[in-house]
Amino acid sequence: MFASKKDSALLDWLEERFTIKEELEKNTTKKMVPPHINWLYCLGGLSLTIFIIQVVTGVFLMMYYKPTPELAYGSIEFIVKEVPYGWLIQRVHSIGANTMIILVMAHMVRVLFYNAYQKPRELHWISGIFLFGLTLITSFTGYLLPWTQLSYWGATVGTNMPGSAPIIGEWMVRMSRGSEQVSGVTLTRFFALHVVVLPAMISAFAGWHFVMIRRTGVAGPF
Amino acid sequence: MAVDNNSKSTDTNHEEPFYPHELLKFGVAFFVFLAVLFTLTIFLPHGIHEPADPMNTPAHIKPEWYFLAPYQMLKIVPNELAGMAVQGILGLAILFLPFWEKSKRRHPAKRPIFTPVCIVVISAFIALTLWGKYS
Ligand code: HEM
Repeated sequence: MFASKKDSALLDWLEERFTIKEELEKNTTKKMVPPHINWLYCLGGLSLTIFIIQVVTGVFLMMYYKPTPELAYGSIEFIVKEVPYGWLIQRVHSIGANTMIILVMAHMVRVLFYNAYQKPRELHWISGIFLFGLTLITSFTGYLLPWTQLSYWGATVGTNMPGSAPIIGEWMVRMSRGSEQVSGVTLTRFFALHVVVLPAMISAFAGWHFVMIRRTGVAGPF
Repeated sequence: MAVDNNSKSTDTNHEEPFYPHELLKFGVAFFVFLAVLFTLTIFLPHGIHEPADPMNTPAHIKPEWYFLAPYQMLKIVPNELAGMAVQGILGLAILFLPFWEKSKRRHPAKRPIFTPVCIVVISAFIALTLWGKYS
């Protein structure tokens, strides 16, 4: 592709305007990696893949979803039963959420046993832990949105968990719910976090993660 | 951004081209992963869920699977505060792992303390998750 003697006309055209060729080559055809990197090194890229799938399917779900206690359940039912391919989008999104957690955990265990977090990669690890936490919270907030018995009581137990923390415990429970019990206020709050705040934060931390990985390169196998 | 050059990496010799073989490897992983995801999507049973009823608390309420381990731990530790403290310390220890775990050895077989500790922590997480699920 870019390494061929004769580059494409488009690339030459771009080269004259952006001097892009060297940069492109460095990141594609001339990019070097340590020898013998194996299949486990795919787990980070697959975590990114599933995140992108979640964003795309999530946007489609948002076109029909209604974040109120009265309408939420019915709007999901409508997506699954009436909207063309709605069932597929909804199923991929919900199974994808669990898959993403499993992939991110697997990637984390890979990095752990390869000792790929030590100097100079401390910040790769720290940004990774933030990505892991954000992934969990995104799943948790999304789980409430269909407003089923499972999601309602799941959110009730989940938001109750910080309650036993000293001093700020009660406050955290109240802030996460927006009311005494899980209610419509909780639903809109979780909705805003789930569709805007958390995905934006994941994108930012993933960007940081990737820039650093590009700078150091990956750590080779032992 | 400054020009990125992997060959300047501080600790490994980056000497194998990424393109095309390593990229192809990821391509294979990518399509296998998509195949698995869509197979699950089509063949996993579709649960029928009832709409939420805040007036009616079900008998066994539990968080989602990924919160079961910490949930179950809080349940079995007699003192809630102690349980929270242990979890907080564990969380911070994991967050700051690269700053206190600095042994130069890399191969798991050559790390007689670290490797068993990791295996115990991961096994405990799985055991607590299963315990939470089936209790
Ligand atoms: C949304 C979540 C995440 C994405 C998309 C992601 C993506 C990636 C990618 C593409 C790589 C390149 C090498 C590889 O794939 O193995 C990587 C490396 C790395 N990741 Fe992640 N990651 C995520 C979460 C995490 C987590 C939870 C941790 C650990 C707490 C972590 C720690 C690291 C470290 C230390 C490296 C450098 C590994 C090396 O140099 O060999 N990442 N990540």
